[in-house]
Amino acid sequence: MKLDEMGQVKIAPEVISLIASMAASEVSGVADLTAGFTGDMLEKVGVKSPSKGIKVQLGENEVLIDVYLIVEYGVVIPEVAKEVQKKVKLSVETMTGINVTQVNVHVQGINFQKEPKEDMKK
Amino acid sequence: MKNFTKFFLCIYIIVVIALALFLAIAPFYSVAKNILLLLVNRLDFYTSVFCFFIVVVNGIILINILKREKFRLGVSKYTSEGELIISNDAIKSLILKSLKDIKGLKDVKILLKTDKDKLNILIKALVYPDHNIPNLVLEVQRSVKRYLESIAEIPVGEVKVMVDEIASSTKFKVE
Repeated sequence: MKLDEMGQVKIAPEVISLIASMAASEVSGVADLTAGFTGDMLEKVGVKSPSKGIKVQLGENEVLIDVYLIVEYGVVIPEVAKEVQKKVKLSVETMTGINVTQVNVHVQGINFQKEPKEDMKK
Repeated sequence: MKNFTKFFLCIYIIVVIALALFLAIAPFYSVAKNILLLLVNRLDFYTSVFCFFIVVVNGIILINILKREKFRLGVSKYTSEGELIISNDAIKSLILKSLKDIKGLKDVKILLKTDKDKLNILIKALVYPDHNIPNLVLEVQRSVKRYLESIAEIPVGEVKVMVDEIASSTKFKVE
């Protein structure tokens, strides 16, 4: 929530989730974001959440973001995680102006089906 | 959550929904109300058994949910931007992948234990005969340690390998 001369600007947590989700998905080495058991069940019955795998804890003018993801096989996990943290922080801060205090990355699994891109291979 | 538990949970939810619907319509339909009153008047040993079953099912589901939360923890590292948590599921997948190309291993079970700042691994292995076990174990230990440290940057402490059994492709009959 921000105050200016014209009034208040409120940004819903869902918007921040969506921005974070899109930013995290774009990182090379991220196979998918995980929705958890409930999310998976909902997805099976056709209810898709565009901001799956993102948990947002919104404060006064700061936000803490948790990202739950699956990485591609063969990538260096800490490097991918660092890239996700940077990109999510940058995207959310640029688009909303809210200070991102932490971006916690939870690697829930490895995707073995697709071969990782050459530049991410070690 | 295991498939068995998921199935169990689905059945349980369906039963609870059916019971709730039945109770919801009971005041407005005399047939449903009569059935309910008949059931209440005939409370007996089987009712107790049914209720006990419900308690047990609740217990199983609760234990599984708590187990899952514990299981999800995994290994965590702190960076300047936040925390990185690699789940035990992901670590086990990496270990299995690193062992895939080692000849002589038929099956493995992996147990993880986090120490203060290192990850200790216990691998229970089922090995094929005609393989030098000490060499095989050494190869397993080196492969797992090297792979985890390079891919996940997780400091690995001990890699214990327990050869549980020798897989035999032929069975001999003693006459």
